[in-house]
Amino acid sequence: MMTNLVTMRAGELLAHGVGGRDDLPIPFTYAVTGAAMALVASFLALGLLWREPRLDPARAGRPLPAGVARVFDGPVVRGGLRVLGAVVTAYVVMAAVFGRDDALNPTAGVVYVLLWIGVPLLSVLVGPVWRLVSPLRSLHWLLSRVMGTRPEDGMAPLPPWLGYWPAALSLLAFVWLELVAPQNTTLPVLRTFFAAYLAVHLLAATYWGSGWFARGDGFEVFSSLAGRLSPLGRRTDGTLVLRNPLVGVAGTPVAPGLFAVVGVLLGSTAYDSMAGSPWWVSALQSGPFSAEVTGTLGLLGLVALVTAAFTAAAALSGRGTGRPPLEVGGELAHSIVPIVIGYVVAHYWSLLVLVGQQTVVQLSDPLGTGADWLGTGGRGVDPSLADPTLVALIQVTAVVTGHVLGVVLAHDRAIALLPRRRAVTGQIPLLVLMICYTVGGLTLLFAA
Amino acid sequence: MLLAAATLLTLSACASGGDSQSATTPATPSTSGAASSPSGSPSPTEEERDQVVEVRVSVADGKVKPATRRVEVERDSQVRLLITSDVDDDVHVHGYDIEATLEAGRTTTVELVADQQGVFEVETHDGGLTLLQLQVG
Repeated sequence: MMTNLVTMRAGELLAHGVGGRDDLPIPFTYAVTGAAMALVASFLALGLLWREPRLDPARAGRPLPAGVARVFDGPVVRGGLRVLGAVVTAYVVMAAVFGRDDALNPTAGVVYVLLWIGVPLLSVLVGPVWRLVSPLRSLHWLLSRVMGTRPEDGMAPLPPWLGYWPAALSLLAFVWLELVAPQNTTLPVLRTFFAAYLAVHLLAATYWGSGWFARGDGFEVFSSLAGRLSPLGRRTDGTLVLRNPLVGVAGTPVAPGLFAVVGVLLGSTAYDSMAGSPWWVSALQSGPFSAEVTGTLGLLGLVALVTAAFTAAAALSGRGTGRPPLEVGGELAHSIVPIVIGYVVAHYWSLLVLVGQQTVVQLSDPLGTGADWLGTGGRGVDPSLADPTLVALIQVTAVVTGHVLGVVLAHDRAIALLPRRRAVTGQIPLLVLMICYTVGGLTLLFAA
Repeated sequence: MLLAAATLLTLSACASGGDSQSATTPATPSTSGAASSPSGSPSPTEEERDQVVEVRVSVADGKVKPATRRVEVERDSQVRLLITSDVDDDVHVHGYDIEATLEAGRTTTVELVADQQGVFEVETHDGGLTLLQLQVG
């Protein structure tokens, strides 16, 4: 479990075992204030927002100067990022293969904190970085060169109906590892998982071409979805622009299974929250099944609940469009992305701050030999950004901000999608769903 | 989600109600079973700060008794954990990084000053059981 990773005592690393700290519950007044703000913002938006769709990913934004764009997209930056990704990956693989399997090994921190939380949040700031550094893409590119084929060309085109479903499955596998699998911070388990991950995705990309990664690699899809919230983005024609982040999210490519990806991300984070509550710990320990079975059921249950609730709300909202509910759901699923990111920030902020710093310290001694290769080995963990009052404030702000952005996005898409007569009333099911997500999230932060 | 969350709220409230198991007793060693909630008194006074929050928990047949609960204590309070297990094991207070050996059938006492805020699990190593969560606010 994630909690196994957190070392609390500032400036001091544990010599053995693992430390653990969870956030304090947010104060009740914070939870109530956040919920009230979300509620008011939702209905204000319904009444006050624009009546014609405004978010146009094809035209919005201010293009970067041509020279800057050329550097960004040029071979030096692109090649440099690929090399950086490969070097960092090789370094971590070295720690995972040759390092000592103890709490000071950086691998688990790199995987569960820097890669899983850090990369998506970095993507929120600067855009979808993972696809530019992804070691899977680099390896596949190398393989293609060796075989004399173009990376984009597989043996068959990716069937359109597949959409984001492979990414949803790939993310589900990872969150299961993160939240349920026994011994999931030990090296043999991590090595096995990532060896399998590598094999599956390289095979799939060899068959379907490198387009696979944008639909199948969970890490890349998560980073790309988060990156849609970045002010740095691209128009539909590829022009690099600075823009309103809402336009970026509105431009999320619609494909089947997007709502499943969002459901896995939101449901699994909610499960992790719930798993910290004493009653769930009790259920895991003394329920009728083993902890792994109960944990799997709990995780799948919450993912299914979140996803089914979205599908139902989207179907209700989409009545009168004469289209199948899943299709309508796909067109609205992007509006949940800010809610997911807001909740991920809320839930993982202190983990990112504390274990993130600790991992940077541990990376300096990847093999457990007492080395200090990066010069970060002597650093302590500065807990000031994880101060309980600050954390509670960040949590509520993130959740409410995500909610408000989600409401605006849903509104803009709904007025484009729905017949004019139903444009406002048709949004109500989706709004109610978002309020449920947000109040549910705040409740978990308060009570679990 | 809302329904689940509401249920969760109720359940969780019940679970943390388990506070009543943690008796506030004078600093002198005492095995008083009388349960009085530490949050019972209106404001923490000098007297209360001098007192020790005593928490009893036992493991029998792989089950935790009383069931895993959250014990809320004020920051900087003295906490005394009295842990009994029917098998040999080690106990670990996360975050505080305190470890102690449990001998089958005997009560082990772990004392700490709750000077770090957060929620910390108290866990057995071999059994892998979470005995309780210490919430330092």
